[in-house]
Amino acid sequence: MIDPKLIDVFDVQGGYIGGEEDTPDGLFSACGSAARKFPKSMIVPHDERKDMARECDRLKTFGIHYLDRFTAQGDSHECAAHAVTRSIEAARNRHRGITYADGPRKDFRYTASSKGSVWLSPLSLYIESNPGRWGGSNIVRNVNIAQRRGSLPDRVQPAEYGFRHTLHGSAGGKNSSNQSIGPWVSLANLPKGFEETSKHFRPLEIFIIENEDEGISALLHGGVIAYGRRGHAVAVARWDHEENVYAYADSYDRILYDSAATFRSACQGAVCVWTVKMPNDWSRPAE
Amino acid sequence: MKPWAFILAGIAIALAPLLPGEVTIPLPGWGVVVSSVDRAVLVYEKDTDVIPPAVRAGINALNTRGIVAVLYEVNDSEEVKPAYVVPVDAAKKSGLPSLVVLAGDKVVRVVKSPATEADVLEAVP
Repeated sequence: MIDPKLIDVFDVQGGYIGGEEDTPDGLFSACGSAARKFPKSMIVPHDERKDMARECDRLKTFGIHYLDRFTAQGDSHECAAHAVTRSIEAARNRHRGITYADGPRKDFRYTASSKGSVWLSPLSLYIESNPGRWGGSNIVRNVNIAQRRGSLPDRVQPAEYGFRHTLHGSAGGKNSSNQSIGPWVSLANLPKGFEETSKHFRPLEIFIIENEDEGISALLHGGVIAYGRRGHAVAVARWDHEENVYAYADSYDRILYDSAATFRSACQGAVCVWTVKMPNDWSRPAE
Repeated sequence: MKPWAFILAGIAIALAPLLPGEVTIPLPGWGVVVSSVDRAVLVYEKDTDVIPPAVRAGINALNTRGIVAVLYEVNDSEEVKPAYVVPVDAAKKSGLPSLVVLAGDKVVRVVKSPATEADVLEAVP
């Protein structure tokens, strides 16, 4: 039984301001050539969903099992950048083919992460989505930046990948074994030529989620959905079919849940990153 | 090269899929390098192919065995990187989706439309 206090937690103001812009039309436009309608072939029929959810739980293949760490935004307003980043990271790990049995765990590093998982810097998106630092942003702006020029890797990585350009993960929160923090920086202060690295971490195909059916189906196929609602954007990664709630890796080092009603409403304008650039060599992901 | 050396080399090559990584068989005057399976690429197209959870679990299981097993989504807007040219070509010849098992750049086996975890695991001896 999930503690009701963990469901529909809306007392967090993480910096989500985008309800009016985060519409399907706005998202299709923002994602440019990477925008994709959710494929009909991937819609899971109603009467098969619970069985498939049981299978995903048993085999550890929900989107949450492709997330190998938490991110923490602290007192920053970076939530939408964190949500989009988690969707990208999950897509990348799904391509890599490695699952993480317990999903993200606080202050815990999976050994398998060193086989190709790359931890991206949400801050590298947020500094462009809101150059003023405070006041937050939305999914449209962050996903547009991600598909256009990509994200920079966090300074902290699960392996030595030899990146030429990195950035701390957040201008809030605290350092951890899985994320670095640092001062606020402007886009102009990013290391010269950073796009040479960030281009390797760019989504190639992004599903625009327009309704609940597409949202549930994306989760059952191992996707992670980024959406915003009531002041906070989150990365939804698993459907708990028994209690009919949706688990998300919150950008405060914890798992929380959205009710079915909240999920249904938020899925009227959400994204799920599906395809990312694949490296030739997973131990050298920026070459 | 002596006849027994040819026989030994033949046996080594036949057993190659069972060997972990790359093994060098030292023969007098002629080292024979035997490659075994080290990669598996599941090539699919999202608009037509659905990859079941069990197949994704199988891919993960291959990774735990030390094989670099990945999912590759064919995307015509992006050039195929060199590491994926051989498996993508092999998969397209077989029909998507296909699991292509490789030893280096040599295709060892192609499994069309794997549907279960066993389909994936049995593709790699």
